[in-house]
Amino acid sequence: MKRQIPLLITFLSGITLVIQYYVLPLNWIGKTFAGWFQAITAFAYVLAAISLFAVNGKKIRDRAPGWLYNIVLLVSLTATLYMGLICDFIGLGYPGYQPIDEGTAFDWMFQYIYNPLSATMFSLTAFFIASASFRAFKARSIESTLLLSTAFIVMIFRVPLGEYLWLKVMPDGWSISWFIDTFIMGGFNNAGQRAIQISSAIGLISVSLKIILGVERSYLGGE
Amino acid sequence: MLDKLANLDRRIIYLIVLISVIVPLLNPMGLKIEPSESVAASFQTYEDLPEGALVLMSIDYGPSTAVELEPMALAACDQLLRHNQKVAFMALYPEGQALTNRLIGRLKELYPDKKYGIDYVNLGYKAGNEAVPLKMGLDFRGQFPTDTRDKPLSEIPMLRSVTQLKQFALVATYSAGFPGALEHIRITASEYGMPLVVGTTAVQTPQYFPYYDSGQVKGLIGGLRGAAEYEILTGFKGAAVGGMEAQSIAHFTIAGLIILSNILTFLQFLRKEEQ
Repeated sequence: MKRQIPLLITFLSGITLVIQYYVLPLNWIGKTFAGWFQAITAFAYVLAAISLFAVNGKKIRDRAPGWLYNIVLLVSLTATLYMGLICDFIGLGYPGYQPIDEGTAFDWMFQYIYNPLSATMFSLTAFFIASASFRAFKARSIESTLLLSTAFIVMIFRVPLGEYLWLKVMPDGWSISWFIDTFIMGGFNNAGQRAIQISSAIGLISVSLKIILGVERSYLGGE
Repeated sequence: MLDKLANLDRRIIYLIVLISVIVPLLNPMGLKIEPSESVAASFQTYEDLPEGALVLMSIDYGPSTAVELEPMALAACDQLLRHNQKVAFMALYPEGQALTNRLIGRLKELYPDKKYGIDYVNLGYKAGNEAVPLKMGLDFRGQFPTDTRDKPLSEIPMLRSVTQLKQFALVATYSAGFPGALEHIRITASEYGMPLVVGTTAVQTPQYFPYYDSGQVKGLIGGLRGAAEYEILTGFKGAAVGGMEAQSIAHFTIAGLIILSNILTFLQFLRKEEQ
């Protein structure tokens, strides 16, 4: 029963949603399900916060390697929750303002702590990419040479300095931007992207059907 | 020597990249930037809007990608407010609401005479990923009953008569990933037939080119380069044009490192063959 009931719910939900899409008078079902889906998504945040406390709390209790970082995470999470939710909820917030509004303590945390930290983390990837390109981008086969050459053309000539140098060297009317837009982005890229997108959509339909019909049950866990 | 160069310390590479980014930021070269067709199409789509038109702008990025997406969103907002059009902001990204506040803060500095609720409004973030644009098309007021200040839409002058998504002249998304552009393309543009402009990060741009090519997307602005092109077209003095020079040198540096590493590998191969 523990497995049969979720399978039945999945089957009925899936079939109902497919049918309602094609039968106009039943479209309201899709609208209702969309509302439910939104509520579930919002609830997932609560579940995620509880899960973070459980997982990190266990690591701190067991003194797992790097447990000090888990403390930092939980302190940050608690402080953010306090400023953004609890402080406002118990009436210590800013009457008439949302916690996210400009000038609140929560907004200050977002703008001056989360914002620079997040931007810094992402900016660091530029350094890792440079180091990784030096070590890994090698023309060892025809395929890798083709890939490398295309990446090279786009990387060099999609920036103003590359275009400037191209125009200095090449005769008038030989536009590298036009070549990149028409042949690389509009040609090879579009063809490849379409193939990937169409095949992944077909794959998604096939997996969805398997889930609806109960063939694929890994989402239930255990198997 | 050859092996030493091939195994160059990563800290030296980091230093080279750092210099290549900082130097052009301190010494701008004033390089010319030619707008591409897809960015020009985005610009034209905004330009063709009638005066007073309502635009729904989805801020679907976080601080990590704001450096690429915020300049294009800001230039577009500037273009809209300059032409007396009205912008309603929304977000599918949790951080989008706070970044909308930042965007509104800049608009207040640029246009002190423009008023909240009359020229722009913040509808905020809604959880639910693809369900948000889906419900937006079915029942706009149901999805956004109030703005972020809990004011009902019926009391906001610019949205007083808006009950349906179709009443917006254009939807624009500045998106860093999921949920964002793809959800708007699949639902807002394809399902509800709304004209859509997409601004996205450079790494994601190739993914959206087929949608621009097929006409499902009216305009496509890709990465900092796209933002710089947009600033050139609108005449807005933002951060993207200056940033492109740093990106130019950084690209050349990385390209140089790739060439060097391939030459070294080839020389190592020749040496091995000789032995």
